[in-house]
Amino acid sequence: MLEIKNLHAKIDDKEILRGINLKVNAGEVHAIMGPNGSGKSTLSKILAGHPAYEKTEGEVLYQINGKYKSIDELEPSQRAKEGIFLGFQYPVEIPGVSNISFLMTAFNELCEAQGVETMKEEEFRKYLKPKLMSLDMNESFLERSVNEGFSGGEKKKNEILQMMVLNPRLSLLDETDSGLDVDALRIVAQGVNTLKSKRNATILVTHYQRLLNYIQPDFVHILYQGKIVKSGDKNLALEVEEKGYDWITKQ
Amino acid sequence: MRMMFQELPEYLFELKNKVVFFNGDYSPEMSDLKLQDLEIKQSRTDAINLLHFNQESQIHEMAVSVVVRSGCKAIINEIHFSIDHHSEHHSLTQILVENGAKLTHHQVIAPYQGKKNHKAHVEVFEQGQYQSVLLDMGGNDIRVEETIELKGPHANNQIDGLIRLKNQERSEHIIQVNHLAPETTSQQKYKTMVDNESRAHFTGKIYIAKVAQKSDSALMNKNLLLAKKSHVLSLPQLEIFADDVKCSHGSTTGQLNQEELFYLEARGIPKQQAQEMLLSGYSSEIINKITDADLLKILTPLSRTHL
Ligand SMILES: Nc1ncnc2c1ncn2[C@@H]1O[C@H](COP(=O)(O)OP(=O)(O)OP(=O)(O)O)[C@@H](O)[C@H]1O
Ligand SMILES: [Mg+2]
Repeated sequence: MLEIKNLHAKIDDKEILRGINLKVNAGEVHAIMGPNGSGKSTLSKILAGHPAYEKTEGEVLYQINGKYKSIDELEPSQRAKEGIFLGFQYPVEIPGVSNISFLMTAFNELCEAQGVETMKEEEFRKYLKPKLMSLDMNESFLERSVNEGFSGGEKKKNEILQMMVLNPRLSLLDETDSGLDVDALRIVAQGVNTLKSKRNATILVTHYQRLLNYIQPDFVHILYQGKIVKSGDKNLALEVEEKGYDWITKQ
Repeated sequence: MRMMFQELPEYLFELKNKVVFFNGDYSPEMSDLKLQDLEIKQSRTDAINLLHFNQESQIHEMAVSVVVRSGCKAIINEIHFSIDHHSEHHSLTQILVENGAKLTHHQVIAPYQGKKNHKAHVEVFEQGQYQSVLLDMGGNDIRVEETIELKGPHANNQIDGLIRLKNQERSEHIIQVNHLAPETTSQQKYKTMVDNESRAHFTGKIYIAKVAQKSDSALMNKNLLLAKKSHVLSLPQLEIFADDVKCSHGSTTGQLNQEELFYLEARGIPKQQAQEMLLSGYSSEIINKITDADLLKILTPLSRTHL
């Protein structure tokens, strides 16, 4: 589904990614771990098309209609419509734009792109109701401005709500577990697991092994100074939890 | 006159309780209220609509006066509209808000052809309240000058202004608030959006006289530049002669927040539309201050493109 080959990228002339290789197939869950500042969020944002980062070398190929294609030329909104979803480490507050109109606009944009019928507000609210309930989110969140004044955990739940609404093929969840209490973590993990299928894939960026108790990763990668320096199965996450990163980065 | 009348936007004629000024004159045949009705002797909950139409390539001048008698409450919607870009219109609206009275004043400059020079002169007496929302949807040569005089203790003024310009539009807003009695309060907030090569000028002056002790005043001007060649000039000014007052003023000018834009785009909303969403989010703070449902209804089609 996704193939990253020797990806180098910079921001403001600062090189951050220095040769990333990663292949993700449909049905897989990949976890990316690594010390602060190693480039995890950078990688996620580049995949989603953030304009501030510049690719300097390498390729990002993504499967569209069965064929691998470079996504370089796709606008962020086009990538989203092709099923790439970024769950932000720091969800952005948007004053004056209500959560419901934001969700509905995004959803209907996607419907139009896929040639299925759009929904009117009443119908859309019905469609949202079970999703809100599964995330233990009150309906009043729909009336508030997007993320404005949401607590850290509420913002993360709102990310998952958006993911559920858009039902992406490739989810990049950047520290969606940070700032969640134990119950919320379980709820959010359930949300991710419900969407999991043979046709989609998930990349979880996380600092904590505990998330991986709820969402079983097929692969764990360690990102360090802009490169994947080690890959393994879920035992690698346990090892990191126990021993830190020193033993990997000093090799 | 009838023929021209046909060309005027129908949605404005759906408004009830209207006083119509056509090319500078009061037009009884288009109005369903008389000029005398602008002296408000009894509180009313339904809005009075003052419509200024200009449709001739000539210079027109007119003055209208509104009085809200002691203890009364009223809502006035004042809408300026012109479809002739050779026209020139000078209007003066004089307002008296007597002791304990309250006037809510919505002022709309609908997308305007021609030159517009509007003055509002407002006097507010003891415990009186003047609340105004001003929407300027742009025109080639707009100048709005408002003077508010807080003349009795505890008089209050609140203005929320929204100015959106595009292409080569020019607009100038000058507001002066004079605190002339003790414990008077005022809050002024103006938000501007300028696109393309448009230019907006804003001057906000707060004057606090020596007698106006314990007065409280805040002035804020926020500007969004939407294009490289758009321009804003912002001049907040304070003149304070009393020593025991609270007074703040500020002015910010910036661009659309790129992280907000990316967030919307990352959810599949195309850039253009995402920008529009952010802009309407920006204006909503001001538009939400409008309390008259009928006015909001007629603004909806305009606000999509002009606010
Ligand atoms: N706009 C920028 N200008 C300069 N440096 C930047 C910029 N954005 C990111 N960086 C740097 O790029 C590096 C990678 O940042 P990134 O956010 O990708 O790290 P991360 O692995 O997600 O870290 P964390 O675990 O703390 O979230 C950091 O050193 C960061 O300071
Ligand atoms: Mg990060």
